[in-house]
Amino acid sequence: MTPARIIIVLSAAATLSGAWWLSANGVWGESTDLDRSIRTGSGGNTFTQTSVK
Amino acid sequence: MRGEVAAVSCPSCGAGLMALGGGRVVLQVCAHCGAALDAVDNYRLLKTFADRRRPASPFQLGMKGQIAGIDWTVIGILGWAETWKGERWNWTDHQLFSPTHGYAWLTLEDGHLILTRAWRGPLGPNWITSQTVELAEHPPTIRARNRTYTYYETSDARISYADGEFSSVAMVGDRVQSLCFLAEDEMLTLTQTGTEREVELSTWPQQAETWASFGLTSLGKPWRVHPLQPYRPWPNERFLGATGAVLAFVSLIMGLLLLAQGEKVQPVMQPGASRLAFEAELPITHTRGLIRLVVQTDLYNAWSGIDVEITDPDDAPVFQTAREVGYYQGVEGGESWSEGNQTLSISFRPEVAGNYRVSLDVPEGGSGEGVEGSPIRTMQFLAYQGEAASFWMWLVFAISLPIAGLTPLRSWLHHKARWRGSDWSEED
Amino acid sequence: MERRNCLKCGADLGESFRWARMVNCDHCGTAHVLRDAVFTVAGSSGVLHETPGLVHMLQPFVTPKGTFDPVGMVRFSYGRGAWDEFWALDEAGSGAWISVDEGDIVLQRPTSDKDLPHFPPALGSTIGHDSEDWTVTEAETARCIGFRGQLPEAFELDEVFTFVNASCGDGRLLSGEFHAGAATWFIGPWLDSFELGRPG
Repeated sequence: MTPARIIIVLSAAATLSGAWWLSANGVWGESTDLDRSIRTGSGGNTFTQTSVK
Repeated sequence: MRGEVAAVSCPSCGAGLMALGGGRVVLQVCAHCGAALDAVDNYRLLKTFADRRRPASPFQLGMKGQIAGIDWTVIGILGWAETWKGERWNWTDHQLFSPTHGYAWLTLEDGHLILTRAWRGPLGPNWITSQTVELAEHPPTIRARNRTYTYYETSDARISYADGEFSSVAMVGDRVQSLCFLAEDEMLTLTQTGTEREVELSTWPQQAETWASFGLTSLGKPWRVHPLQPYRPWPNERFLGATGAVLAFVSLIMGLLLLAQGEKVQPVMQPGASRLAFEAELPITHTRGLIRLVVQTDLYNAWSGIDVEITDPDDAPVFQTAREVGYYQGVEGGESWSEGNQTLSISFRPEVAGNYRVSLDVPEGGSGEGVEGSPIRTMQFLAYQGEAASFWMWLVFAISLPIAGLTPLRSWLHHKARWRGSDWSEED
Repeated sequence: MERRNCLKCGADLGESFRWARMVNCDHCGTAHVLRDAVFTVAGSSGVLHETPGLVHMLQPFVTPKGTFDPVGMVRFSYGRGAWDEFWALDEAGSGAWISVDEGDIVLQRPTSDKDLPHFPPALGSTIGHDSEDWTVTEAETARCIGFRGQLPEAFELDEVFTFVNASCGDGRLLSGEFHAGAATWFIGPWLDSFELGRPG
């Protein structure tokens, strides 16, 4: 097996395991509209997304 | 030895001529003055050509080289020009001679070297004329040498320069019309002059080796793909493609496995302040992956605002959010349509295990433009933990597909590039 | 062997005329042709100098039409050059003529068609044979300048005869030889010099 082929196989394996780790840990899987500012201690109501159709 | 030896010199200018070709040479053009001499009839002067612009070719008369394992000598140089629809093409043919294999042409066109020789074997059909091509509905084909050659183009070229020896009478100014038929790696050219029919076979020899064997350096990598140029995969291209196919398969399986990940969490429900509001306690046992909350409503042609607030096992708020859920359906112009969603889904990553508290409220809603009490009648709350964000794996799947299709894609592009020069059009 | 000198610059042309009719001066490049006497004749079967070629005596070769072993050869001179006819046996021991002229190779066997002309047809004329129209593409005189090995017929040195070649465009060549009113016709396919090989 040539070095180039080893690199190809290794990068394929690395891509697969990396994608598996990111997926299984739910990285970037959170909903994007979650307002976490209360947790940081502002105390205020940042409830601004009042829906009026 | 009896007999008289005579020096061959040009009857027009007196310059000594070189005889490099064999017994089939019929025409010799003086390199010095351009006089065309009948090589069969005692170098009788046939014609002189005043306008002589030698085509830009690094090949010189007398150069020797090897193509397809055969030794060749350059004995003649022929410049060609073709104009069509205001465009002009130029190429140079070099008449080659080999004592064992006879006469051939080495063509230099757009930086490509092409080897052409006579083909005398059987053709099926016997011949194709330009009239046949014009009347045909589909590109005509010719069978020969266990291959099928498909019509490529009609070339109508003029000899613009001649110098050296030739096995056929090729005079500057002569027009030659030929029909070209292309197979995967060979081209057949059919030429008819008067009653004489000639079939030639062209191939694309190994370029670097050919240049080197004549002691020349290549003119650089040609920018255009030649119709005869074989598809050349990158180093390891097929291996890369195979790896891509394996990657696509494995990532598909892994993606499906990831979709199946996650387990249901049984919430402990407590009713809230209003009809639909509630508080739920989620016993989260591990922190790997995502917690997903799902609220299924029975909204139909109506909308509702839903507020969700989460606190962690230490009673510290994790986040709060407000969503609008709405689902509409109808029939317009005989076609049914729907938009929106009856379900609300929220995902987040837990940092610690323990009991999380979800408070949900439905502050408003409506079925038209106005704002009123929520039109939701029943609602179901579901929770999952340890769910995966499988899109990473789908991303890998998406990337692996073009890698797996690399060779089919590249060879298709190569095929397109080879046939780009064809003058066949379906409207003909 | 008589040596010759270049008529332009006087340089020695060496023994190059031993087998070639045309020689370039090594010094100034001027070509020289040997007129009249073509090849020196010594002995009754002529002197056949080894010339470069694809087919050689007693060296079997493979064609798309089978393997052939050349057991005899005759050399004829025509116009400015010469061509060789090899009498070659196929795997079944049956003989065929293989003519070799600078990469043009034809495999022919005698045809027994009694309707073919007994006198040389003119260049460009058409003859009928095997339900095809054959156009005469070549009509010349040739002279036998040597032979050796096993041959199916007797050849006479310096015998001059007329020959014609005709084709119908199906990859075969029809050839006629005319000796004092008697005609012999041969027919067979062209062989591609690029497709000849050694057995094994």
